[in-house]
Amino acid sequence: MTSIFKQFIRHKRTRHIVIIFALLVFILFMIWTSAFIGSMNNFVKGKDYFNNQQYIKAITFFDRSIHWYTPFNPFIEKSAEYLWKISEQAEQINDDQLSMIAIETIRNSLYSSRGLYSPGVTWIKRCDDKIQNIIKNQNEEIFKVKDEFESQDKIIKQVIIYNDPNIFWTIVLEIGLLGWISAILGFIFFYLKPCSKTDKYKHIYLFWILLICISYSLWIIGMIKA
Amino acid sequence: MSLCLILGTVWIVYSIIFKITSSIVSSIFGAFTLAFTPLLWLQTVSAEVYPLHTFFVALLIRILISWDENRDIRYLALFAFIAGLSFLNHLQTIMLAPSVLFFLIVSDRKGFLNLKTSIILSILFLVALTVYTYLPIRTNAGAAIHWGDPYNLKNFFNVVSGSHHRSEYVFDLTIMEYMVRAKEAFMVVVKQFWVVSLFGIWGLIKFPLLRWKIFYLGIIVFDFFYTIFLNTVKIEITPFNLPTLIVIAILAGLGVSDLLKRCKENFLKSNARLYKISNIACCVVPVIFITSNYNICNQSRNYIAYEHALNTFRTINIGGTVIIGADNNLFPITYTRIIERMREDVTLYDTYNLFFRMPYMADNGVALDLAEKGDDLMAILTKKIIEEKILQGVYFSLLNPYLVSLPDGYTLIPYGVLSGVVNDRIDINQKKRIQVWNYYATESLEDTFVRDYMNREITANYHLNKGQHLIMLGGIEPGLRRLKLASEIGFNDDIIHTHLSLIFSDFGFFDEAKAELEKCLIYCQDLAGVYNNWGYYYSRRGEFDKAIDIIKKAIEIDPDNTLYYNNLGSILLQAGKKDEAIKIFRKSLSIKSDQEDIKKTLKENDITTEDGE
Repeated sequence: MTSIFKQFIRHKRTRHIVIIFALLVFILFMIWTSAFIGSMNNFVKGKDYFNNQQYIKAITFFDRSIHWYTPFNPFIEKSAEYLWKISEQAEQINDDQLSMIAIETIRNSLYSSRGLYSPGVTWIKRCDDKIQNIIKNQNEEIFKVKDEFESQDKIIKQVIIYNDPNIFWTIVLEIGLLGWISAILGFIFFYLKPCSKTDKYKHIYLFWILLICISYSLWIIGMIKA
Repeated sequence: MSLCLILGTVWIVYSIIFKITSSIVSSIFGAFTLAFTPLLWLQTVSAEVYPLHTFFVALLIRILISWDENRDIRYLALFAFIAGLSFLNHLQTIMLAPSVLFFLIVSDRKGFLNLKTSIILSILFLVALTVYTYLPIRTNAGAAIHWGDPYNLKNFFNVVSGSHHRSEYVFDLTIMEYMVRAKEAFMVVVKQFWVVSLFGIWGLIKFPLLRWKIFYLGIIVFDFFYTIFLNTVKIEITPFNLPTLIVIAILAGLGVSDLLKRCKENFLKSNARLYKISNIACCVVPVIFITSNYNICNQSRNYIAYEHALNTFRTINIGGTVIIGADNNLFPITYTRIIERMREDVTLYDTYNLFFRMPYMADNGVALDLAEKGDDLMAILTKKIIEEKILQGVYFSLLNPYLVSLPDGYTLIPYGVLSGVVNDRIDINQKKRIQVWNYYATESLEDTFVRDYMNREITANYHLNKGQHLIMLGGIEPGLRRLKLASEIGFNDDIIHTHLSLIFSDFGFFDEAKAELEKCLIYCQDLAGVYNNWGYYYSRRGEFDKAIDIIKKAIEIDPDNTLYYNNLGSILLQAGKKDEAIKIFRKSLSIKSDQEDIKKTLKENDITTEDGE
């Protein structure tokens, strides 16, 4: 095994691939570690404030902890749990505003961490249900006095309007755009090469032109569908 | 992404200097000094177009150097394509054109002006520009943000050419104002490099090829032209000088290389140690930049924009409506609503009609059968919103709420960091109004790190609102402390000083009001507005003659502004000069007839208007 690896890195090109790959892994690990430490530190601060019953400050730091989202990070879940706890405690003392802030914080911070996948989908669903309940309760109070129940429905409906780009087509359009730029660069360096104006290279030009057309089409289709 | 692009820029600048000088020390000196200038360093922690712009500028210069080395048309083709892509990112790329065209024509006129080459380059440039097709496609696909609605040819052209947003602030200042901008722009550049600029000048002098000298000088000159004349946004806000910084860094690297060579020639034989020390000293210079600029650029505790958005939403009732003005309010709220889906029960409208469209407006920005020619469209739309939504609460998120035009019977009151609309039919929950401050996120707002202009404005506005709130509750001392802190933080902010001068005048703190008005004279461009506020200050003091005189000055400067006439009329009434007041009010109505409050004032004083009302 060791000798295969040695043979592999003996060649200049493969050695470069290994170095680049190792660098990428190292950079990703550093980013992950930095975000993880950020999340952990903010969680610890949030917990301190929670224990001192300074709930707004605690919310701020649990919020930051979730914003430092990293995969496999236990502090995301823990921060969400503490925020939920704050919301429940606030409900018990009829502080609807604090309850709403804590719940919204879980929802917002998890939404901010969306990328190729959405973390905390279950949490978001729980939060949506709870927010709707708070809104309903508060509106009943407002509109009991004003006697305008129609508007109540309108407000609740606004909560469930979503308009996210489609992940699959977003990836397609990204591949299309980057592919198109790369294909044009390839075309420039192969087609415009001074010594390449012979029939021998014809299939290479066709390859680049075809690649430009395909990737551009992918990009356009991706944008329409995303 | 910003960090990666700035790292890319620094690496390219390093490679440019190394290509020209073959000196590692000079390359480190130029590239790393550039990396730690505050203007570029701050770009690594901001979500803006400038990191990509600087990357493209550095890359274009690097490609041009490669072309000049071997005159391979592929580099020129690559240049045309990358220039096209750069143009998509920022129109400022066009400012490179004069220098580049000059350089190409002087270097290889035949080759460059050859028909085949011209066609290839033009095609590649245009091919890059086809990326603009994303504008109509994504607009039609319902993207959350589609600035300028580029789904038809006219709007598309307006967005692409920049006329959609740029027409308002190009070539519309006086000569004096341009001179002040020129001085500011120059000082921004000097403050980035300080003494290192001298190495840049030396590098320019010692550059062996004249066409390259002119090329670099051209970039600097046209960059300044763009910064000064093609924009009126505060220079502190917009880092248009970044291409100049790149050029100075390259030239500084060349200057140092030349000096080191001279050092080597003179000292190497007699004192090799001295030569080594000078090499080390060159590598240490960037470290000085790191240590001296770290505090400015360390924004790790800066959550101000986010906290501002949080606090805005925490102020609003369930199902409430907020009308947003000013970039500082709009962009944080846009992020939190679109990305984080914050408070989806709240209805948002922005006065620019960009992201959260005002109701009753068509997509092209035209109001639907609401306004007649000459009517104040925003006032009509605001009235409609207030009348329909007042039950759930209507708020304004503005830096200058005193300029809002409200329908009859409604007033604006400070409500946390916002202003709330009230009328006599709506009960204000005073307890909630007071308690709203307890729910705010204030970690960054109360922190003491170095802030840029926009962050200072939000922070100062927060302290201003809090101070106002404390004074209204009877906390004179802490309230005054907050207001003074707001003035200190927003030291060069005309909006903050204007707002403070009015608040101080309202509360009767006349010394403080005067101090703020004096600052307004320094920082406000709208002199008529400042005179108007001086008038208000004198009227609050009961010095009506002074008030009348100074508002007349405001009218002299801006004779079509009805606000000044109305204020003058009111002061004249207070001073007991009823006849003069009538004249002034009539003059105001002759400029703008739909002013119900003025007609009402005249009616209350038993005066009929010219149209018999």
